Amino acid sequence: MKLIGTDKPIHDARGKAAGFVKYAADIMLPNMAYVVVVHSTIPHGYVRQIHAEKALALPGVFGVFHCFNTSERTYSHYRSNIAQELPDEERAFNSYVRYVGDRVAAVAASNQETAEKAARLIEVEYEELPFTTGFDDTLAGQNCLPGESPIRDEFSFDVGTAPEKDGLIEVESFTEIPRLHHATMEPHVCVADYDPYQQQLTVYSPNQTVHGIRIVLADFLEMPFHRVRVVKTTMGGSFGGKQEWFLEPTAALIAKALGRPVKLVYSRGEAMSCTVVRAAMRAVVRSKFKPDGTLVALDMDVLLDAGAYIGNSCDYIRTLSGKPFRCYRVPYFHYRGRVISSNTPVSGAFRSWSAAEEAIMMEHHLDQAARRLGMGRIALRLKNALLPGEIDRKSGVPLEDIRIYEALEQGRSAFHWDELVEEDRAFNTANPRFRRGVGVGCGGHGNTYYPRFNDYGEGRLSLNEDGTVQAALTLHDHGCGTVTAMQMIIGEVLDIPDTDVYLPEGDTAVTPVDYGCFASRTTFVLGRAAYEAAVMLRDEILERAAKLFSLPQESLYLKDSAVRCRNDEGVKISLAQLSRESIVKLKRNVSILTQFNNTSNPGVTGVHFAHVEVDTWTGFTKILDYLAVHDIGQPINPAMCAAQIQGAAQMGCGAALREKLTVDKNGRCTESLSKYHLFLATDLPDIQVKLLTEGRSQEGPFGAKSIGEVCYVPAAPAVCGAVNDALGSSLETLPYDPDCILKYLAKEREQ
Amino acid sequence: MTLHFFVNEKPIELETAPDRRLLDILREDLYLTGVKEGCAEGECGACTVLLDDQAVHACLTLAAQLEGRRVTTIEGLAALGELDILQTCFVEEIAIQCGFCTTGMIMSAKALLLKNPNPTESEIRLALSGNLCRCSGYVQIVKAVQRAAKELEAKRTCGV
Amino acid sequence: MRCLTPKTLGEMADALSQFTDKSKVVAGGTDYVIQARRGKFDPDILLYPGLIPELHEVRLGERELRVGAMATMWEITKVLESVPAFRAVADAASDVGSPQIRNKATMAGNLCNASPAGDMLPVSWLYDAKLELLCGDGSTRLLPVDQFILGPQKNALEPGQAVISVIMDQKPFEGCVSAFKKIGSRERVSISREGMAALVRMGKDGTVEQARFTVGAVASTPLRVPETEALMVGRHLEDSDLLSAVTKIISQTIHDNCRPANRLYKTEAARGLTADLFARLQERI
Repeated sequence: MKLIGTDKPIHDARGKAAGFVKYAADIMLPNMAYVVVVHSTIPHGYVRQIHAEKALALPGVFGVFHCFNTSERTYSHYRSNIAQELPDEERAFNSYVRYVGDRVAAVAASNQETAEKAARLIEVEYEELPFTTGFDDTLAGQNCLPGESPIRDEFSFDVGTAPEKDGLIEVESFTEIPRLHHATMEPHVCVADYDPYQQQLTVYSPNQTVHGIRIVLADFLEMPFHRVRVVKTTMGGSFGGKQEWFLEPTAALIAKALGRPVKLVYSRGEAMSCTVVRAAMRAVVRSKFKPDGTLVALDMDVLLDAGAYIGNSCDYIRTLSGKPFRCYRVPYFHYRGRVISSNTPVSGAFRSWSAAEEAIMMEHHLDQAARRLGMGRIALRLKNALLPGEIDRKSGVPLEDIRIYEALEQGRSAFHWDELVEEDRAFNTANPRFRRGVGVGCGGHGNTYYPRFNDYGEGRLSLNEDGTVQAALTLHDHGCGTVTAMQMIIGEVLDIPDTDVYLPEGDTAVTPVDYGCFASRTTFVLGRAAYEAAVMLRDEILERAAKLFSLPQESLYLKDSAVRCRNDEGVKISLAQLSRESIVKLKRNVSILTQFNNTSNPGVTGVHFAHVEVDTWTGFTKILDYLAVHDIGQPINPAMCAAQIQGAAQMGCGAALREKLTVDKNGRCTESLSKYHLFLATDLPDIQVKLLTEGRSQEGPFGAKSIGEVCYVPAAPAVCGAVNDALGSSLETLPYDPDCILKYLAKEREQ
Repeated sequence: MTLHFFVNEKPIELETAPDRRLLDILREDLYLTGVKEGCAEGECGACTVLLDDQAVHACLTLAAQLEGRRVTTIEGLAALGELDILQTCFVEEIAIQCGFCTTGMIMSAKALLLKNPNPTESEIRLALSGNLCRCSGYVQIVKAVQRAAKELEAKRTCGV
Repeated sequence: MRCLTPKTLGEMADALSQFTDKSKVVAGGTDYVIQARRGKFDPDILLYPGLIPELHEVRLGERELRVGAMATMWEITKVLESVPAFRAVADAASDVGSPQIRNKATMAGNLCNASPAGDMLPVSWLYDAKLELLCGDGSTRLLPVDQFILGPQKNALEPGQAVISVIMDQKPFEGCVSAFKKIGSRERVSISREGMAALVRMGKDGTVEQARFTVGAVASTPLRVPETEALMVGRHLEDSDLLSAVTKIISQTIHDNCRPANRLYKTEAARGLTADLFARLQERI
C-alpha cells in the first residue's frame, strides 16, 4: 500500500502552523452583533423579574433577550439524531433555573465590550429554592420539588445466571470520581446568521454533528430543515464537549430576531461551568472469583449525578453497563445504574462515553482482587481477558480478532514490568521518602453505534475535469486527522495522491445526512463508506475508459492517476483525460454515490502501563515512564494515532492525579484554569506508544479499528494502579492529588 | 491614546483605549487572528506573542504598555504562504492536532530558541510549561522544537 | 481613561500628582488585567512607568540590592541566580507562574498585589526588604515590607504614591547562602500553597552562625520563625536531628496559623518542603 500506514500531518497543519486557519471566533461578518449571556447566579429557583432598562439604554445595545420575551419552546441539548426519544427540558432562556450557570438572558450589542458591560447591568430577581451539590444531599431529596423523586432514573439487568458454587472468593471495592472539564483549548463559540427574506438560517460552530444541530434548531425555531444550514468550523478540540448544544439555539434565536449575524463566544469560565462536564459518579463493585483467578460473577452498582439537566445521563449509565464485556470474560453480570440530579453543572458526553469511568471502577477492583487472590495484576487480567473469536456477551456481537491478551503480554515485556517491580521493591526499601510503583490499565471500546443503531455512512465522489477528486462525506475533524485519513483511503483505492482529494467537512448544505463524528465511528464507518465510494468510483472510471477507448474492462486498472491496461503497456489514459472525454463524448461526468450499512463492532482495546514515584512527604506523584499498547487493526495514519494516544495519556494522567471540577457550598463551580490544573510539558515523560496491527477488523477500511476514544480508557486506571502499588493503598476517591495522598498517609500513620 | 508600536516589524499607529488588550488590538484591529484566546487569564498560553523577543500573553498586555515596543506574532514568522523552520518542524513532526494551542506554542518555542539556540529537552519542556495542549502528550511538540534547534544550528554553521 | 507614560522619575512624580483615589499604576499587568476585567477597578488615570530606564534595573551595590519596580521576574532571576546571599530571591522569581508571566511580572507588583500566596513575600520578609515610594511632590520615602503589606490584597500605598524599587540591605547578609522553595498544586506554573525561604551564614567549623527562616502562603502575611533560627545556630545543616526538629517547629507554626481547611495538607507537606529547602541550602554552601 502506498498511503495506508504512512505518517501524514493533519490536512490543515500548515495553515494551523501559520495561524492562518480560521476558527469560529475568527469569523467576522458585516453588521455582526456580539452576544453575551447572563447566567443564573443562584443554583435553584425561579426568575421573578428581569430589569433590562439600564442595559437597553446603553448605546450600541441592539436588544436584551430573556425568559419573559422569548419563546417558551423547549429542546434537549443532547439531541443529535432523529431516532432519539428524549424529554425536551430546557428553553433558550430559563425561568426555572437549576444551577449557577443556567441561561436567563442575553445581550446583543455592536461589540463585545458593550455587550459585556450591558450584561453586567441586567438585574435579575429570583425566588430561591433549596438546592443540592453532592451525592448525599441529592439522594436525600433536598432539592426535589413536590412530587419529584431524587432518583430520576433507575436501570438494572443481568447477563447470564448467578453462580451458586461455594468456595468462591468475594471482593468488594468502592470508587468515586469527580466532575471533569474537557478543557478544549478553544472555548465554545457559535456564529449565526439569518436572512429574513429567504428565511434562511446559517449557523457556524465547532461541533460534532451538523445534522444533529439542524434537527434541534429546526424544531426549536419551527423552521423547515432545508432553511437551516449548519456548518462545522475548524475544531479547537472537543473530546465530547462540543456535541451538546448550549450556544447554537441561543445564537440562532437572536440572529433570527435581529435579522443580522451574531457571534457568541463563551469565556473559559463559561466553558467550564455552563456547557457540559463529565458526571461525578460513585460505584460499588462486587465480584466472585475462583481461587485460580477466574472471574465468575461481577456486580456493579453505579450512581451518576447528572447535574442540573438529565441530558444524556439515562443513556450514559446504560452504555456504561456494556463496557466490561468489551475487555473481559464475564460469565455472570448484575448491574444497577441510578441517576440523580443536583444543582451543579450539566453532565454530558466525555471522551469514551463512560468506558473510561467504567475502567476506573473495574481496574481498581481488579487490583484489589489481585491482592486478595495473591496473584499478579497482569496475571489476573490475562486470566480473564477476552480472546480472539469471543463475543460481547451483553450485545451478542462478535469481537472478531480482539487482541487485549496480546497487548497485555507484549506490554508487560516492552515496559519491563517484571524488572520494574523488582527494582521498585529495592528502591522502596532503601528510600524513606519516595515510593515507586507500577500500574496497568486495560480498556475496551467500540467503533460504531452498532448494534445500538444500525449505523451507516454515505459517500459521494466525483472526478474533476483535471483528474482530482471531489468528495462529500460528513466529517467533523476534531483535530485528530479524520479528513487526512479519508483522503488517504480514497487515494489508496484510486492510486492518486491523498492531496488530490478535496473533502469539505460537515455542512448540511453540502454533505450528506449523517449521525455525526462520535462513538469512534468516523474511521470505521465513514472510512468504510469512503472506501466503498472509492471502489465504486474506480469501477465507474474503468467502465468509462473501456467504453471510451474500446478496451476490455477486466484488464484495466488505476496506477499513478491514470488508467492502465494489463494487456497493453502502451495504454495510459490520465484521469484528467478520462474525465474530460466522459463529459464531452458520453455527456456525463464521472461521479458516484454510495451508502454503507455497518453490521459489526469488533473488539478494540488498549493496555496502558505507568511507572510512578510518589513523594510521601509532599504528596506529589511523578510519572516516570509510560507505555500505551493498542490493538488498533490496520492504522490508516500511524503517527496521528500515536499523537492521539499520547494526548489521551496526558488527559488520563490528569484525571488520575489532578483534575476535579469542584462546586462550592453556594453551587458555584471552578471557573478558571488556575484552579483546574492540566498536565504540562514539564509534568510528563516521553510517552511510549506501541501499535498492535494484526487484529484486523472485517468491516473497517483496510481492517482498521477505532482509536480516538479507546486510548483514553486505560490511562487513568494505569496511573491510579501505580500510585496504589507505590503506597500499598487502595485509594477510592479520584483524583489522587497531593491532598488525597497526604491525608491517606497521615491516617495510616495514626493507625 | 495614540499608540505607536511595531507589529511584525511594521510601524503601527493606532488610536486606542489604554486598557485595551494587545490580544484585541491584534485580532480585531489588525485582523491578526493567529493569536488565540483560550482563557483570558494567562493560564493557557494560546495568545503567546513576542514582546521585544520575549514570550508574553497578549491577553495580559495592555495598550498602555506597548509604546515603542516590538510585537511579533505567528504571522510575522514567514511570508504569507510560507513557513519558517520551526513551523515546518511542527508540521512534519506531527506536533499539530486541533491547532488551537499551536501558534502560542510555536511563539514560546521561538522565544526559547532566540535566547537559547541549543536547549536541552528539559529546557524545552520548561519553556513550553506556560502553554497548554489538550490533544497531545507534548511528545511531538518537544521533538519538533528539538529538530528545529538542530536544523537552525546546521543552517548557522554552514549557511554563514 | 487617561494614560500617562512618564519617561523620567520627575515626570512620574508629576503624573502621580494628578492621581485621584481611582487612579492606578500598572507594571507587568499580569494581575492587574485579570482584576480589571473582573470589574475590580475602573481607573480614571492609568500610569505605566515602563519607559523609565532606571526602573528596569536590578542593581547589586556595595550597601544594598535594588530591584527596580519594572524589573521582570526573568531579569531578577538572571541577575541574582549567581548571588548566593540573594539566591532565594532568584529562586522565588524563577518559579512565579509561567515563562510568559515571568517575562512581565515584577517583584514590586507582586508585593503591591499583597496576595498571601505571593511568591515574593516570604523572600521580602527574609531580608527585611524596604519599598521605596515616590510621591506626587517628587519626594521619596522608605517603608519596611511588613508595614507596606497590611493584609490580603491590602497595601499601604496612598493615592498619588507608587513603588519605584524594592531595597534589601547587602551588609547583614554578606557571606550568606539562601534558598526559597514552594509547593503549589502542581510542580510548575502554580500558585503557592506553601513557600519557605531561608538564609544561613556558615561558620568556619561548618556550623550555622546565623539563620533566618520565613514561611509564606500560610497566614495572611509571611511568618518569621525565630525558634527555628535559634535552633539552627551552631548546628550542621546535614544533621538529620536538626531537620526533624526544624520540621516539627515549622509544622506547628503552620498548624497554628493556617485555615482549618488546609491545615492537614500544609502541616504534612511542611516536612517535604523543609527537607527540600535544606537540601538546596546544602548544595549552595
